[in-house]
Parts: sequence; structure tokens; C-alpha cells
Amino acid sequence: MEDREIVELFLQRREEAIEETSRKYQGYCFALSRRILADRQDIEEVFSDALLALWNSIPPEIPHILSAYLTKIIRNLSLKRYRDRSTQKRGGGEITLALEELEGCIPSGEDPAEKWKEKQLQECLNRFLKTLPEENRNVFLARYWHLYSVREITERTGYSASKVKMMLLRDREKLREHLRKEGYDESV
Amino acid sequence: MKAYDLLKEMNDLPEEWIEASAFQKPKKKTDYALWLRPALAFVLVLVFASALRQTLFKGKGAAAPAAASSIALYNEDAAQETADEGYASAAAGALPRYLALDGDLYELSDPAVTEDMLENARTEEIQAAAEGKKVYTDALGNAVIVETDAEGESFLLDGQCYRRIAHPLAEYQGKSWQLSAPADIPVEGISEEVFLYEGNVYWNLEGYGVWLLEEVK
Repeated sequence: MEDREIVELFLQRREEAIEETSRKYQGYCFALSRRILADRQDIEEVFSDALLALWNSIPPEIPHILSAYLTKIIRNLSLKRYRDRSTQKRGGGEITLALEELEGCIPSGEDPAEKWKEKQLQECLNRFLKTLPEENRNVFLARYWHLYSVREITERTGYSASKVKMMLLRDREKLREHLRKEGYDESV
Repeated sequence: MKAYDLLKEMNDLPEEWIEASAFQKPKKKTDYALWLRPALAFVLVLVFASALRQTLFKGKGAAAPAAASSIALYNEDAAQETADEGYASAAAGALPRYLALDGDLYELSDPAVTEDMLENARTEEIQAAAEGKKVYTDALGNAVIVETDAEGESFLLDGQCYRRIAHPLAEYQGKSWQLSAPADIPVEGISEEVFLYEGNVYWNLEGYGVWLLEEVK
């Protein structure tokens, strides 16, 4: 079933919308969740919660791209659950590696959470991503939004692993510089 | 700020970016849609052609001839002839060595030969059948288009293009023209069905007699 037909089912408040969404996107959503969460039960619960969130948000929302809209919810819920579970050492997968890589972007000795509100940080990231060429942005988001492994990115793009790693390394450096210029480093 | 915050705040991005960076693998469903109809039509044509041939031969009071294994591969000359004459032939399963398509001859090992070209050739076979041309299959399942012109029906055999010019059934009636017998007839076999006898090429259709063939130049 086409996405616009599924959205139409949501707008009509018909429960088939849930079934069709589940049939079409469960695999993709599970894969994304699995890169953040290790526990199968957590992954299933996140998916259920995401379907409920979808049901509650459409209408009034009308997603332009249903797959992206849904994966935003999945990713958000998975990250939230990861944070909740992290003290219990239940997180795993690609997120651990992704977090380690991004740690290097953060200037030391500051606490931006006190200085910047979430919205400001979002806008800051968006401004940075807009500066990247489309090819770089897609690879960057494949790694840090979809949390694909480098190997998965090479398989999906056809780029060599060294090229992907080099692109990510340079773009993390750019992000670090961008964050500094945006005020995340008092010395700048 | 922690790396977690970066990941989390990255969530609210334009949906177009998210979709583009997902690098979705191509969906196979589209491939099925593209291939299924031509494939089904091709199978139907083969079944129809096979049934038609059986009916024709049955009408002569004998069993249908065994599939001619001699038509398995085309040699270059014959394939070029068919190409020049606008015939098309292609594989369905086991492949012939050459593909004659749109007047050009391609060796199948040539990287220039693409799946699209093979598919186009199959489409031409279907088209040929629709236009009333004969489409035979050989023992390997390869389809061979045979066109009928004013001089009669021509066809590919053992890599050569032949036209059936005579049906000396009465003359040879009662004799077995299998290569192994009769032993007193000096035959030079090209294959189990095609042989030379006194300088002429004959085609022994099991149960249907022996045909004198003329090579099409």
C-alpha cells in the first residue's frame, strides 16, 4: 500500500492504518531500533509506542514522508529508552560506537545544557548540516541519524570503507569547529 | 553537553534529508513488475508453439519429432545471417553463444550484451509470434524464430540457416535414417538428425520422414 493511502487511513481514523504501517515498516523500524537497543522486548515496545504516537499525531499532523516521520518517532523513543536503560547496561549496538565518535566533537570544560536550550542546539545542528554537500550530509546522517555501521554505509552507497571513514572524520571536525563558533566554546 | 544530546537533538531534521540518507536498497517488487508480464507472455508463446507443432506433426499420423539438439548454439555465420535478415533469437534458460538482435550480432560473453537486450529479444520473439512467425524451441529451451517467405519456411539448424525444399517421403519411405542404420548407406552425420548423403543435406524427422534441405545463402 502506498504511503499516502496509509496516511489517508489514519486521517479517517481506521485501524487498518496501524496494520498497514506495521506490515510495511516493522522490519525497517526494528532494524533502526536494534542499532540503539539490544533488548528484543525494548525494541518491540518502542515499535508499539511509535504506532500509538503515530495514531495520536495523525491528524492533526499530515506527514509529508511517512517513512521519515515514523522513523523520527522510532529513533526518538529508542534514544529515550536507551538513556533510561543505560544505567542498567542494556544499551548496545551501533549507538555506543556512534557516541564515542561524537564525544570528540564536544569542546571540553563547558556545560552547554545550561547555556543552550534544546531548540537552539537543534537549529545549530541544522545550520551545520546545511553547510555540508549533499553527499557528505547523507553519509553523516546515515551514520549518526540512522546509526548504520560503516560497513552498512559502504554496502548501500558503494563507497569504500576508507572513503566513508574519511568523510565522517572530516565532517566531525567541521561539526566541532561549527559548535565552537556557535558559542559552545567560550574561548571562541 | 554529551554526545547523547547531539544524537538526540539531531532528531528533528527535514524529512527529505532523512529519506535521502536512508540509502534504501532498491525494491525488488519493481523488478518483478517489469519482468513478470514479459516472462509469462513468453512462456505462453512457447507452450502455444509447442502445442501447435505437436498438432501439426500429429496430423501426419506420426509422433512429434524429438527436439533438435542440433539447434542449441548458433555459429557466427548463421547468426549473422539471421541478424541481417532481421531475425532475433535469445535465451530462455541455457544461453546460445550468439545473440542476433536488430541486425547486429553479439557474442553473449560480450559485456555489451545486457539483460535488457536479452529481454528485448524475448519481446521480439513474442512480437514475432503475434505476427504469425514460427517460434520453435530447441532441446535447451532456446527460442528460434523462423520466418516464412515466398520461397517457403526457413529455419536454423546446426548453426546453418536452411529452407526445406523437398519432402521425399515416398522415396525414402520404409527406410530408417538413423545414423547407425542402415549400415550400407554412406552417411556423414552432422548431428543425430542432420546428415550429408551424396552431397546433399538431409534432416531426419523421426516419424515424419527425411527432408532434403537447401542452405540459405
